[in-house]
Amino acid sequence: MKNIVEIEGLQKIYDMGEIRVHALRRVDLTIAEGEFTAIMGASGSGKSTLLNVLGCLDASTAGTYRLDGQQVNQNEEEELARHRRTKLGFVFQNFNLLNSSTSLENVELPMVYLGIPRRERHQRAMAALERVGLAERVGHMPWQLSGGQQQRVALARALVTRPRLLLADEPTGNLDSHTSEEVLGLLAELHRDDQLTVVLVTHDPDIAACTRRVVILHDGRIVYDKPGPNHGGPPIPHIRELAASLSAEQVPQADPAGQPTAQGGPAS
Amino acid sequence: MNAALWTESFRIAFREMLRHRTRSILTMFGVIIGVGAIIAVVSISEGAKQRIQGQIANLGTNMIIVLPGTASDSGARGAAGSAPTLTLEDARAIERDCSAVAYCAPVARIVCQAVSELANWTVPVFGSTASYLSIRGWPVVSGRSLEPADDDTAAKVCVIGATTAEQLFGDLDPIGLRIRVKGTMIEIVGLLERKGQSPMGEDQDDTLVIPISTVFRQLAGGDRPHALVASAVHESQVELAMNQMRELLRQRHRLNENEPDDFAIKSIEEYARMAEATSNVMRTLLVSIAAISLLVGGIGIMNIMLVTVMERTREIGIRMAVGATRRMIMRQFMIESATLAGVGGLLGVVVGLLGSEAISRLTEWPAILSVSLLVGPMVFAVVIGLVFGLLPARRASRLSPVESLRHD
Repeated sequence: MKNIVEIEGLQKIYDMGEIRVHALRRVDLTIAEGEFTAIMGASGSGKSTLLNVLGCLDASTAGTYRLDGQQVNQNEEEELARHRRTKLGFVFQNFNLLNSSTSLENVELPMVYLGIPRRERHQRAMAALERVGLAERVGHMPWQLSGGQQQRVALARALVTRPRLLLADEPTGNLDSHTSEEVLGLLAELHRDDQLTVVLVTHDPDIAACTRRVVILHDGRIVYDKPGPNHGGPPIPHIRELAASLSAEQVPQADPAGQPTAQGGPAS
Repeated sequence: MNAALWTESFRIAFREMLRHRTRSILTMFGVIIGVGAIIAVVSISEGAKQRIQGQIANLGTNMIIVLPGTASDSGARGAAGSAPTLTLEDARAIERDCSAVAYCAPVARIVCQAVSELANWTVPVFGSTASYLSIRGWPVVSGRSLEPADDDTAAKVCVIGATTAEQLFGDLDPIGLRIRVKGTMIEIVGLLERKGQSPMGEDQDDTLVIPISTVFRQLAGGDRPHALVASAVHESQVELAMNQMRELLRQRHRLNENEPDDFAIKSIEEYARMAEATSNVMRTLLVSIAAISLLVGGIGIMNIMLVTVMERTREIGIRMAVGATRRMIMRQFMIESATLAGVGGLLGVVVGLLGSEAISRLTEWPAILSVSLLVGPMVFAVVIGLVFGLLPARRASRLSPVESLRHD
C-alpha cells in the first residue's frame, strides 16, 4: 500500500532568544494510505508541532517530509499553501469556522482558493454538508449551531476538496461526550467508506482506542507506536506512567547549546 | 489569481464594509471630501474660465490697450503707467495714421460723486471720445451717442450706464436730465445698452462716459489720458495694428533705437491669457489642498485596515489553513482597501456634484463638469486606497498560519 506520510529525522527547534526549545527530536514516521492514526502525548510532548508540520502549516527545522509521494519543500510558502489546498484537510478543536459566513459558505471556502466556479462549489458543498448530516443547516451561521454541528461543518469543509490526508487536532476537545461520539463515529465512517487517511491528535485514551494505530510522543520523540486496542493492539499505556518509566530509564539529554531541555514547548 | 477568487474578494470587501457601516463611512470621509472638493473646485473654476472667455469675446477680440510707459528718468524705473507718457494727440495720430487701426480713443478714468435731483451716487467716470463707444461696440438704447464734436467743444454732456441711471433717477427716463459732477452741470444725452459684468467682475453698467476734454477741463485737470484703447480693423489685423501703433508711438515720443518703449501695448487676448494664468494658479492651489485631504483619507483607510487585519487574524489563519497563499491574502486586503476608497470616491463624486451645483447657484458662476473630471478623482481615490492598503495587506499576508489559528 502507498504511503501518504513519510517523515525522516524531523526536528523542530524553537529559538526563543535565551533558550532553544526542542519540540521534535529526530522523529521518523510513516503513515500508509487508509490508516487511522491517533497521536497522543502530554502537553508539550510535540504532538501539535508534529501535526502542524504534517499539515504544512509550519516548517520543520531539519529532516525530510514526503507527502503523498511528493517531497515537501518546507521553506516554499507557495508550495505549502498548495499542499494545504490540494492534499490536506483540517479539523480543529475550536472548529475555526468563519463566524460571519453561513455553513455553506464555510464549506465552499477551500474551493474558492482552488478556483472552482461558484455553481460547482455550491453543489459540492451541499453534498458534503449532506454527508455530515447537516443538509438542513446550510444557511445557518456558526453561532446558530451547536458545537457538534459546528464541528460537522468543519468536517464537511475539510472533506469537500477530497484531501489525501485529514488532520484532526483534538476534534472533540470542546464537545460533550455524546457529541464527541457522534463526531468520532462520523470520522470512523468516512475512514471506512472512503478509505480516508486520518491523523487525529488527542490526549483522551478512549478516543485513541477507536483508532487503528496509536502513536505516543514524549518530549519530542515517538516512544510508542502500536495498533489500537480495538484493533488487536495492547491497551494504551497511561501517558503519565509511560513518561515516568521513560525518564527513569534514560538520563535527560542536554541539547547542543548546553541548555536543559524545556519540558513544555510553546506548542502543545 | 482566478476569477472565483476575484469575485469572492470583492464580495468579502463589500460585506465587511456593510457590516461596519459607521466605521466605513467615517473612514471614507477624507476620501469623500477630497474627491468632492476636487470636483467642485475644478468645475467652478472651469466655469469661471469659460465665463471670462465669453466676456472677453464680448469686449471684442480685436481690442488693443496701450498703457503709458515705464518712467526711466535718472535711472529710477517705475511700473507701467507710472509716467503719463501718452497724449490725446497720440490717440488722434494712431486713429489717423495706422492703417490697421479702426478706432483709437484716449481714456481717463476718475471716480466722482454724481448728484441728480433725486439722489447721489459715486460712480466711475470714463473720460473718452466717441471712438471709445465704437471700440467697445456699445450702442445707446435711447438718446444719442457721443460725437466727435462733443470732444472738440468740451461739451458738458454724457452718456449714462443703465445701473447708474437707475441709481440716480430710478425709473425716470434720464435723457435730457442733468446731473452735477464736481460742481459742473452735465446733461445726459444717451442711455447705454446693458452690458453686464466685466471680466474682472465689475458692473460695467455703473458708469458715465464724458468727453475727455470736458473731464480734463471741468472735472479733473491735467491733459494726459490714463490709457489708450484701440480696435484693429479686423481680428486678423491685431498683430499688425499693434506693430503700427508701437512704431508710431516710438516715433512720436522720439525714442532712439536702443531706448525701451515708454508705453506698453497689449491685446485683449493677452489680458485674457493673464487672467487665465491667475485663475490657474488659484485652481492649482485649491486642488492641491483637496488632494492633501485625499491623502489624509488614505491614511485613515490604512489605519482602519490595520485594525481590521488585527481583528480578523483568526479568519486569515483559517483562510491560510484551507490553502490561501500569502499572495492571495495580500490581494484580498488590497481589494478591500481599494473598495473602501473606491466607494468613498463614488460618494465623493456625488458630494462634488452637489457641491458644485450649490456653489454655482450661490455665486451664479456656471459649473462645468466633464466625464474626465468625475472619473479622474475617482481613479485617484482607488489608487490612494491601493497605496495605503499595501502596508496592512502586507501585514496580513505575513501572519503565521499556526499563530493566527490560535488567535481569538
